[in-house]
Formats: sequence, structure tokens, C-alpha cells
Amino acid sequence: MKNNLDFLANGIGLVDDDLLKEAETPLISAKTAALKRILPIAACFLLLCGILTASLVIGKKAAGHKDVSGGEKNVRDSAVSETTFPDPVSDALSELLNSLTSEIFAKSMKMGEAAKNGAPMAEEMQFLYEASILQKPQPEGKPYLILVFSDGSAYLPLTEDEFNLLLIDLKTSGEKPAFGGEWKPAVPVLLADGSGNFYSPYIENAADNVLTEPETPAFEVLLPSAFAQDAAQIIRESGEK
Amino acid sequence: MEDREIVLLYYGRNEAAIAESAKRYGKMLLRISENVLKNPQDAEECVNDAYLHAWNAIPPDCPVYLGAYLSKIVRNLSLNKWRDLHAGKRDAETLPFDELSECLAEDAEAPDFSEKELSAAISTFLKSEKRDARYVFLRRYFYGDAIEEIAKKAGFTASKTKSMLLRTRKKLAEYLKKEGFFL
Repeated sequence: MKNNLDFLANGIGLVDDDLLKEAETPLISAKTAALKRILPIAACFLLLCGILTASLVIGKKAAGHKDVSGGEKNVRDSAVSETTFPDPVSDALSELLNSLTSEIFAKSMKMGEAAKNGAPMAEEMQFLYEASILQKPQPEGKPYLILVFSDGSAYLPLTEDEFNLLLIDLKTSGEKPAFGGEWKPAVPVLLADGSGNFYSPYIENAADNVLTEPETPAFEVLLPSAFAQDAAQIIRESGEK
Repeated sequence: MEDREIVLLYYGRNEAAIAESAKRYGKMLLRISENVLKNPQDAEECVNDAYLHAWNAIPPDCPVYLGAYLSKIVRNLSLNKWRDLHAGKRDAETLPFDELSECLAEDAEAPDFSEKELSAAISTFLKSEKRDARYVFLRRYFYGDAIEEIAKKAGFTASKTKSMLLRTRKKLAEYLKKEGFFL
């Protein structure tokens, strides 16, 4: 056995030169190795920034919405007025979003830890990372756009192009411009009822503002379906009122 | 200086060939030897012997990759020295290559094939593997690097590196068995 082991070790010692030549070069450079180590941490940090920004935008909009009967209403285009959804709907959605962001953050931390321990970065983590990158450079006031379908699915546009394309679709296919001449979305949450209609809690009459046909989303499901179901429930309840 | 130019120095019997070899590959060769012998003095001696072997073998040898050529010589010399030093001793000191014992059947008969035949089979097997698996395997069992060092160079964790080695060893064992080695 020992002799055979020596024989095997010697055999490995005679492998082709090109294999050895290849093995002389590290798989990754020292820089890449360092980057790989900090990437999960950086991803978590960026994600947290994105989430905080989103929470702030949502929070601001929720606060602004309550003042809509005052001066703020005049700043907007005249086509926009009070939403048909009662205030508690927006509040409930904000709460849901807040719980959601905590959930995503907790999940990303868990994945970040796993990545630090050598697990390959899950596709989902990569997606979250890209999503947070996307959100970070958004000019102030741009929405955190989430599509929620009442069948329980929910989507977040992955790239800026998709994001813009979606906005263009919403702008051009609506019966009337949602916010007047120039499209200046200030919609924290965009809701769809699963039958092809999109609604915004910030549009005067949601039923009259069918904006677009839903496209088959090319991006992954981000939100927990429980959130989407809760959101759908809120929409349903608001419709019954 | 490039490999080709250094080999030309050997062919011209110019002693600068050894200095240039040492300049280009000295550190790597010393590390290979130290990984086996764990003793800087012995390693240094083996590396010097390797240069002498190369001096005597080139020409007629004409290596394309001088680094690989010298690595093989120094590894072989270091292993032989290690075996000499540990012959008859019942010490617990092991080499990374001992992990390869699982590639052998417990009741394997003495080999009736040459090291070259075995080496050709191992090369074929490694070429069919993914680059990262190949890299990790050779760093461990040719260069004798520590797991942590390999993990650092490959950008993996130590545990992933260990599991990659385990998988590759198992696959190699199956491959060798299929090809009729160590039955």
C-alpha cells in the first residue's frame, strides 16, 4: 500500500508541463480575492442604504399624502388630487413595506454571512445587490417602484432600463396622464389587481386610471408572497368600502 | 529572462543559466521543497541539486516550460530525501500525498505499469476536470501547499477547498479503477 502510494505521488509528479504551468498562476488575483471577501459586506451595506432611502421616500410620501388637502396639492398637477384609497390603506402599505425591508435585510445579512463563510453568493443575493445599486443613484424623489399582483406575486424592476421602460409604458398607455403633462412619478407603491390593471394609491380615481397592461416581468420575485397577499387584501378591502 | 533564453544558456553551457533559473524560479522551487521537507537547509540543498540535475540534463532535454521542468525535479528529489529521512521510522509525520491513499484499493497489488503510464492517465483525468478543481488538486498534491494557502490563492474558504479535494480524489480513484490502475 505504502509503495503504491509513493508510486501514485510520483505519478502526479510527472503530470504534463502545461498543467503545471497553469497551476503556477493563482486562480484569482490578490485584488480580486480581497474584493471577494468584502463584497458580501459591501452588498449588505448598499442594500441597507437602498432600503433606508426607500423607507424615507415612502415615509415622506405617506406624510405628504395626509396633507394633500392643503398647499401640497397645488404643487402637483391639477389632474392629480386625492386618492380614492383611504389614508389607512397607505399607512398599512407603508407598514407592510417597512416589515418587508426588515425581512429583506435580515435575509441579505444571512446570505452575506453565508457568503463570508464560503457559500457562493446566491443569485438572489446578487439580485438584491444589483437592486440596491440601482436604487442608490436615483435622484431624490424618484419612486421606489414595486409591482404587487393580487395573485401573490410581486416584482421590482431589476435594471434602470427596465425601470424607465416601465415608466414610459405607464405614461403612454394611460387614458390620461397620471400626473399631467410631464411624467413625474411620485408613487411609492404601484399596485396591480391581477386582471391587467395597475393602480396607484396616489391617483385621484384608481378605477379610472387603468395605466397599462402588465408585461411579463423579466425580473425575479423579490417580495415575500405573504406581503403581496396582504397588499392585495388591502386593495380588495379598499374597493369594498 | 524568458524560459527560452535561459534554456539557450544551458545549451551554450553558460553557468549564468543556473543564476537565471534561480532568479526566475528559485522561490517557487524552495517552497516546493520546504513543503515536503519542512526544513529550510534540506530544502536549499535539494534546490541546488535540482539545478545540477538540470545542468546535466539540458541538453539533450529541451523544456518548453522551465518552471514546470525544474519543479518536477525538485519535487522528486525532495520526496526521495523525505523518504530517506523517514525510512524505518514510525513517526506520525505525513505528507499531503498521504491523503491520496483513498485512491488506492486496500488490497491493491504492486503496480505492473510504469509511472509514466500512470502519470499520463492522471494528466488526462485532470484535463477533464474544471480548472478550479485542477488548480486545487495540483497545488495540494504537486506543490504540497497547505489548504489555507490554496484557499487564499483560489479565493475559496478552507472548507470548500477541502471538499473540492475530497471530490477530486474520489473521482480520480474511480477513474484509475476504470482505467485498470491499482485494482
